[in-house]
Amino acid sequence: MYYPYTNRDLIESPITYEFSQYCGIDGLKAYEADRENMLSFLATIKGGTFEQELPLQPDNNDIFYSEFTFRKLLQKLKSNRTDEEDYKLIELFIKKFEVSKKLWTMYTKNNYQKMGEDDNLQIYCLFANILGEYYDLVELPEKKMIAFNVLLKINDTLSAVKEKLLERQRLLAVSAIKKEKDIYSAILSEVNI
Amino acid sequence: MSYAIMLTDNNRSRAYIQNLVRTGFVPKTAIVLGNNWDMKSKTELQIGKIPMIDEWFDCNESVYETLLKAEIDYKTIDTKNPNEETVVKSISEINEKSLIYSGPGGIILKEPILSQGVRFFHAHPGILPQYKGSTTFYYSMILQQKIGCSVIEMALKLDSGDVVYEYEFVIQSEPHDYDQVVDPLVRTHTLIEWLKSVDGKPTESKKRVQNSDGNTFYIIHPVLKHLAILKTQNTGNGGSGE
Repeated sequence: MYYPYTNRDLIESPITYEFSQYCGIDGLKAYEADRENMLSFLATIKGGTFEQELPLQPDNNDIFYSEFTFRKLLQKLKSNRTDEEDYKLIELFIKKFEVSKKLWTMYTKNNYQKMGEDDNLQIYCLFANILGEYYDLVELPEKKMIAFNVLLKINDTLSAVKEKLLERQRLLAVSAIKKEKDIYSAILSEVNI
Repeated sequence: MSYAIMLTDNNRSRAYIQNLVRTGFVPKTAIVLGNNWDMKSKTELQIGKIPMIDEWFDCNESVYETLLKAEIDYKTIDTKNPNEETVVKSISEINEKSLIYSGPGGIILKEPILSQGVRFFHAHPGILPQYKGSTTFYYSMILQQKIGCSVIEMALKLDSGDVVYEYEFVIQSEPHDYDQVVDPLVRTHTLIEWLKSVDGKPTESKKRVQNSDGNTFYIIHPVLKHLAILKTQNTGNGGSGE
């Protein structure tokens, strides 16, 4: 069987995941194959570095620039320098993605209304990595599960358009998929299959 | 019995109304949202016995058929939006002071429908405040190997009303049945146990749990759904309510 959640561009045509079909072990095998396929595809491409310089500080204080903020946030998470406000921001964007299945390049700073474009894959790659780090840092199992649920959906979005990923996005995508695999394996080990 | 019920013709509402009638907790009146009674759309779904749940339902019997058989007064409103003016007007006209809500899922009730002098009660498939939001029973199957259900008095914020009753189940069922059978029956069983606890008078309900914080879950990803169901296949049976 095939994995039916990555067979079209999910940014152009999002899916709700409502009443998804249960297919037993075969369903999990199809998912594993999709992710292996993505990793194999991305492994064929060389180049790029994971750590990149921050983009220049945007000059409009009324606008939330997703790429700039997400990159800064990811660095903070990796160096364990986060505070409560960072967690609130991540949880806000979990909600935003779950509601629309999209992330925009910009938002208004006062009430986070979407602005700009919804198809910048860098934003999706960065947020997927943020979720991986957040998963490790939060203590509540419920919060971990909420984060993993979004990570799976964002990685579906990336897997569906893997051919479109730019060089600088590929390593971020690989890192997000590998993190997802680790979490999945840990949960799977608790299931007696 | 003096309460009303709001239904939409889906499996959840079918399970509710059939079992409320069967157990004698018959609502005085019903408001049915949507006008899609289609006798031809029979389903092949088989409702098997689920451990710890006495209730069952005929998924091919529409809510309209049950209401007619039980001679319950009902009004149909051709909308799927419970916040619409016509629905608000109908609520303001009923005599009952409490209503069991089984309208379309995923809709947050807004003012003015909640300020018509009628208390709205809803069965949410999760223990609160830990499990707010959507498809929560799958998450609790993964994290706790059990399903919780709470009866809440509905408030403006999603799943944040006062909890008046809760019940926990450890369930092993046919894996395909969770969305269409287990979910409706878990809610139905909890509603009936709650009605028993208040002698069929919802207005006698009292707040039991502080429900202001908590976690909001969103529709479960298929991979997590698979893991939840597979994990549950190896658990035992049991349940308790309070």
